[in-house]
Amino acid sequence: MKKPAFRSRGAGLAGWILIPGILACYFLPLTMTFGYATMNTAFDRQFVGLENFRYLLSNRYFILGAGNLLSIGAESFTLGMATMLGLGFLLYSHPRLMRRGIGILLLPMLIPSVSAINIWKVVFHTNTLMPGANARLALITLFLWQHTGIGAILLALVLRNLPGEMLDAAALEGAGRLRIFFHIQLPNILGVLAMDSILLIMFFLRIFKESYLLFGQYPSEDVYLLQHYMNHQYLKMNFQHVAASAVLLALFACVGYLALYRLIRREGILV
Amino acid sequence: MKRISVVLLHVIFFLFLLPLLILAVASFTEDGLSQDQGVFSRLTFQQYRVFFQNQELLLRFRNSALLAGGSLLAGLPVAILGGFWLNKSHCRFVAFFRLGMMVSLLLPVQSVMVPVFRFARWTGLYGRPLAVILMQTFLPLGPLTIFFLLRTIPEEQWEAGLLDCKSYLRIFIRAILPQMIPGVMILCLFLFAEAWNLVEWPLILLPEDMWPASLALNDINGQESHAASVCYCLPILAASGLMAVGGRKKRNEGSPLRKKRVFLDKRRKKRDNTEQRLGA
Repeated sequence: MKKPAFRSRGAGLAGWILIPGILACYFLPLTMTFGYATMNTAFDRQFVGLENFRYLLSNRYFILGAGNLLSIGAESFTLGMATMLGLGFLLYSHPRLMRRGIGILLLPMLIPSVSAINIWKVVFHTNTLMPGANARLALITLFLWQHTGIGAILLALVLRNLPGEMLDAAALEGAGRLRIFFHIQLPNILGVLAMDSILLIMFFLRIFKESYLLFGQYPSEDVYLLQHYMNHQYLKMNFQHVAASAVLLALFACVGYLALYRLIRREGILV
Repeated sequence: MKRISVVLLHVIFFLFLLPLLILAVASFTEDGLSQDQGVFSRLTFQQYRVFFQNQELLLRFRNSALLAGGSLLAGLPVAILGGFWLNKSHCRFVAFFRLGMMVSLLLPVQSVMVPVFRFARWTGLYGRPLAVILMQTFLPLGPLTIFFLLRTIPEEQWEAGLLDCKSYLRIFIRAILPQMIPGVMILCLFLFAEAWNLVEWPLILLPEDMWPASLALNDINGQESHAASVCYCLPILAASGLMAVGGRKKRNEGSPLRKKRVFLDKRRKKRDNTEQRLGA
């Protein structure tokens, strides 16, 4: 039997509060971004097709920003996943420390970036003209400190929910720790690992805030990200280049998310 | 091996807390963590004294409070009702809407900043805190969190509720929502932290004199920078602390059923003692 869409006016009303807001604040702007990307300027609105994309792909600073975003992103992602895995397993093996761990590991995510950056600025000397490796290190360590805690907690919680009998039976059969990890635990945590990956990518794409606070508007070339390029174009009112960059960034993000989202759905975490 | 991993875990906990500890200690020194000094000088409240005399910085804190408070007050009902709608509506359009919300949540601010800026200029919202509050109110994080929380509620509870009243909304508010209070409280904390930590939207939608402290703190190089940073963390720390204490109290109290069982056990024990005494 087909379920009715709403059983009361109240439920429908709840939807009508959300829909216009989300449409106006997120969906419509996103659609407009796609439109601006194919226009001469955002003011005279002359259709130029893929001209803006062609310009971007030949622009030195766009390539530098995109390259840095990919390379720093790859470093942060690899280190972040390794930290999450290690920390998640450590938390899982000490359930008594779990509650304390949740409190401590979530704290960096809640603390305002501007407060934490005060320390990073002094430790890594970011207000001087610093060598590139130091600047990258500052950005990556800040990212790891802020965003790996939540992934480790999710992982530990999922590991804790694995049936203990299964692990005990494997141990009785003579399976070693590594074998249990690769053959029992890892296949069961693939979904949550994909979710952790999505979170890491999402947090990394939003790292402009931290980068802006650490290095200001004009960072050294080693930490010059695509978002810096977009911000500069925005200040110059080259909205069409900002929009074209945003489209490329959004497409890149969506491809990554969709691949991981499929894995999550297959594992049955989200529907 | 077990002991080593316990020590390792404590070392990691300490490393996670270390920046906050350094910040707290630095705020009680005269020169903060000055680069040439490196070592803490004598403890003093000088930074806090300077901070509380800095009227402009206090004004930025007020801006932050306005933005974060407004976002939370408007965002929470939208999140609760929106999450309920995402969960209980059965039309096909909702699934697409939900997917769109997830994509919007995952994309960086830069992907929508130009249209939002133009839209704000067109509607006359540019330069008003309301523009930032609106963007935070309709943040997809809130409705999606409530949606996922509602998925943990068994369908039988809704069906049982339908026996007494025919409105899903009424069942949600009277029976389901009270069960989700811990989740809603955590959502409150995250929404508040997100709004308190805002950088991009004020940068795009507000003039410089209306920027919150999250932007202004970055520009001060004076003595009071560490004290101001500590003060900026305090609302978040206080909220997290209150939530932890509340959660522990709730756990200790237990469910009404457990309370009743404890009460009955006590009464039985008392009766047994009295009988024993009478028998003796």
